[in-house]
Amino acid sequence: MNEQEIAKKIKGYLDHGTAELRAGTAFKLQRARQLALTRLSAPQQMPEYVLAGAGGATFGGRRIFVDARIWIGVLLLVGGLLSYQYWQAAQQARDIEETDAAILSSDLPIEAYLDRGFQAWLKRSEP
Amino acid sequence: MAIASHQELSAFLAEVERRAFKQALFAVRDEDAALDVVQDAMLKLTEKYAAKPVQELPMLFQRILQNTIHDHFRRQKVRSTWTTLLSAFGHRDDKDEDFDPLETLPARSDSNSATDPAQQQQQAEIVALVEQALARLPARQREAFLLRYWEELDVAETATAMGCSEGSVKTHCSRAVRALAEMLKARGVNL
Repeated sequence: MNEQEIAKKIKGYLDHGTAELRAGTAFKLQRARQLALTRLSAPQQMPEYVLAGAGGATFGGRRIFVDARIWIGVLLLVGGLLSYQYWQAAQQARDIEETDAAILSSDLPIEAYLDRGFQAWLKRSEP
Repeated sequence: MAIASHQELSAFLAEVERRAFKQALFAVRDEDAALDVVQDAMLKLTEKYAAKPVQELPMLFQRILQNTIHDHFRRQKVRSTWTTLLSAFGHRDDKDEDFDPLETLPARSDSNSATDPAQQQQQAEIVALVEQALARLPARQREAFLLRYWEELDVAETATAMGCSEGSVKTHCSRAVRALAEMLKARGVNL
C-alpha cells in the first residue's frame, strides 16, 4: 500500500472521529463561530453612525469626528492648562501688588531701599 | 475575485471548525485550550481577512490556525518558565518529545458504550488509536500530514501555510505516513 492510500484510510478514520464530536464541544465551536461572525458585521455597520461632514477621517483606525470621548479629553486638557496659566499669572500679580503696597505704606522713603549703606545696616542689625 | 460574503464566511467556518478543533487538540492536548485556539483563529480571520476572496480562505485560515497554535506554545513556555522560577512545584513542558499519549491519555468515554454494535465499537477504538498516534507524531510531521491529506491543500499551499519549503513538506508527509502506519500496526491496526 502506498503513501496516498494509507493517508486516505487515515483521513477516513479522522473524518469519522470528527463527525462523532461531543455535542457540548460542537456547541462551543458553533458559539465561537457566531462570535467571530459578530465581529465581522460590526465594522460594516460603522458608516451608519458617521456624522454628516465628518469625511470619514480616521486616527489610528478610529473615527475622530465621531468619538466624543477624544474631544472631551482634549477640551479638558486645554481647559486645565489655560486655568493653570491664568492662576499663576494672577498669583504673580498679587505678590507684586503686596510688595508695592508694603513699600508705599512704609515710613521709610523709597530712596532708602536703594541705598547700599541702608541694606548693609539692615543685615548687621539682624539677630 | 469577489470578497467573501457573510454567508460564505459563515459556511466556510462551519465546514472547517470541527477539523480545526481536532487539529488544535492533537497539538495542544487539552480540549479547552484547543477551543480557545480555534476561537482565536476564527476571530483573527473575520477581523483581519474578511475582505479576502473566498478561494483564499482555506489556506489563510490554516496559516492563522498554525500560528495560533504556535502562539499557544510560546505563551505556555513563558508561563512554564515563570512557574519553574517562582515555585518548586513547577512542571515540565508538555511539548516534550518523549511524551507518550498512548500510555497517558484517558480512553474516550463514549468509545466503549455497551449499547453500540460491535462494529461501531471497533471503529471507534480504531479512530481513538489513529488520533492518539497522530498526537504522538512530531509537531511538524503532524502539521504537514493534516494540512496535506486532511485539509487537502496541495504541496505548495501546505508549504506556505507551514512557512517551509515544498521539499520539507514532502519529507514531513512521507515520514508522518510511515510513522503512523508503524504505530497503528504495533497496536494491531492494519490499514
